[in-house]
Amino acid sequence: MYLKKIHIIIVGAGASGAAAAWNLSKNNFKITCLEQGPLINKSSYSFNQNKWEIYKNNKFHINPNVRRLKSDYPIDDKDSPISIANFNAVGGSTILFSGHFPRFHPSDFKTKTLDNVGEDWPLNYEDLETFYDINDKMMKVSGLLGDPAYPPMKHLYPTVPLYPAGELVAQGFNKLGWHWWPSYSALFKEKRNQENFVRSTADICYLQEAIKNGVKLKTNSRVIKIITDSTNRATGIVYITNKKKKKFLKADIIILACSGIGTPRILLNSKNKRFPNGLANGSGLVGKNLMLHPLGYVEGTFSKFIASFKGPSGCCIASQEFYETRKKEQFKRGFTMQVLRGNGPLETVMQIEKFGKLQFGKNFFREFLKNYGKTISIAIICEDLPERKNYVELDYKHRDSSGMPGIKIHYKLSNNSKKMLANGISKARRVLKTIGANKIFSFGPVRHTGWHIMGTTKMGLDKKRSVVNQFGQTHDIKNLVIVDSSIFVTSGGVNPMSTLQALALKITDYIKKSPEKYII
Amino acid sequence: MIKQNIKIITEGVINKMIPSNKNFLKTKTSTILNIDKFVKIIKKNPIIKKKIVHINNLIKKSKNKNYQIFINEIFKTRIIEDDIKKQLLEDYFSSKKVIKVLKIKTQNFLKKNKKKNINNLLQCVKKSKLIYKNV
Repeated sequence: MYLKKIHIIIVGAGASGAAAAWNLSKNNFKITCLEQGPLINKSSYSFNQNKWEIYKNNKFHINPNVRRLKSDYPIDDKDSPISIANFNAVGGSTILFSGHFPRFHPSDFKTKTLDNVGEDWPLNYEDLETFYDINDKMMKVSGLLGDPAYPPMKHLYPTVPLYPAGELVAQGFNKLGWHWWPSYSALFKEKRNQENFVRSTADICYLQEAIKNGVKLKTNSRVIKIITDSTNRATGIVYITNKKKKKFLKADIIILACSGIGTPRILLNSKNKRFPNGLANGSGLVGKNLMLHPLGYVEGTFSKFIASFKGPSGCCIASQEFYETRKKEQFKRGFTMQVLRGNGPLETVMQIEKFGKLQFGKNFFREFLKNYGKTISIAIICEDLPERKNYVELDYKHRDSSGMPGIKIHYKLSNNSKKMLANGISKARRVLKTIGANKIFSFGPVRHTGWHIMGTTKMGLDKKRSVVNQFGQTHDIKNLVIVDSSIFVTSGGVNPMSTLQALALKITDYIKKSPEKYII
Repeated sequence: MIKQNIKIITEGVINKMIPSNKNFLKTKTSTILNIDKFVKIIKKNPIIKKKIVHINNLIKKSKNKNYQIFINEIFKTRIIEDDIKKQLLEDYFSSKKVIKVLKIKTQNFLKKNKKKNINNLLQCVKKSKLIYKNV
């Protein structure tokens, strides 16, 4: 009877918000999930359709400053070599993500103990393992069991085929004696004989089920403020509707799931007399310790056509040979080499144009056929260490469509990241050279790759040195919970999606089991 | 008259920019695209519009109405290239015909190249010493 009265508001219907909504929806809570973006028709973001390469450059562009949809907010990234990539809609960034879905390694949770860098998490891999398993099932993660780089996993859907590009690079890794494994991929086939894979997006995999269980979804509803009372409790949220109406919604528990920039933005914008520096900011760490995964890019071109574009782009194979700290290297921690498939026809020709080699007329096809289906790329995903000098703050000069301040990011690559990036690029060049690439070009950090936004409301046991505890509760306001990647203590050297969803499931499991701990 | 001439010239220039190719697609590019879309873009550019009006006047005066001279001139001077190239590339490479050609090329390649057994490829990894750090 008591439980029925609990009203939980989830702010954000992206990867973590959707997972949280689904997990809580199985209990008798009243749940409202608010999303600043719209609900998008699934067919319009299928990356298998011919027009996808075009959409990627306009309405589904990864950069909100280019896309400029009503649901986006301005992000000033002039003080950063890496710009933010995201998507604001139901499903969040899973609408655009590649689907590459590796877990963190056990060592990622203990970097201080192992390597004397970063900080240890207040939980470990084993604590998350059950939730990784649940999440893999929900997100229909495909892959191959038996990877020596990970503790044993329970269940994965059949792996994505390597296709010629994957097979070729795999042989390169074998020649060098380096680890590789088929990509863990949030991709599936709707029908057995279907040719192309479908991305497992959070709206389909989690929210649909959550809505069936009674979760109320409010789209185009931008939360601008969290209201607190004199007892330091959050009483509800203020949001702006599509019609620009300001509304208040009362809640017993408020869960923030708005990403590494969206969450600190709301907390900082919610400042009041009792919390003059923003909500839950007693430690002064809201917005600090921004981690972004500096990314290196190495592309090899081959003389023969190898249909390198065949298969889902970001989900091919990955090597974690250099994931852990190595004594002989001049940097701590490591990186993943994620093999990317070749570009589609339009991206191929656009790249030719970018390099000034596009010629219309008789020679039009010469350059196109020299590149199409003949390129393979390797992305170097570097572990980024937490540093206070990297942070986000409110940007009062630029405001979104509802008048809420935008966000400004201040980010610089550390020396550790620079050395790691250079090392990763040289290793990837070696791989491509080994398999006979006749032209290799590389650069890093790649600017438009700030997908993985972590650390800005970090988790920890000490309330002076962290924003939330191991149960996702903010130290300062017990009924205010954060479940997105902003609570990451360290960044790992892999895509964070799998871990952030597992964390959201774990934290909401605590709420299910002991809601009184969040309310009292 | 102007509208018709612009359309003919646009078709001609597009066919010059992306010519049919015996190793790729033999069909004329203009036949697989919506030309009216390009005519609209061209009309928006005041310099080009002026130029086309001028060409139109020349065509009116010309007895044999040889569009090819004007098409070649426009193609060589590249005055409409910047205006239409993005749209042209997008429409061309997402057109059904081109996608089909590329698909056939891929299928032929995949047929010739036998798929390798993933477990055989992974033998080296399985034998290697690398193992996750158990902490």
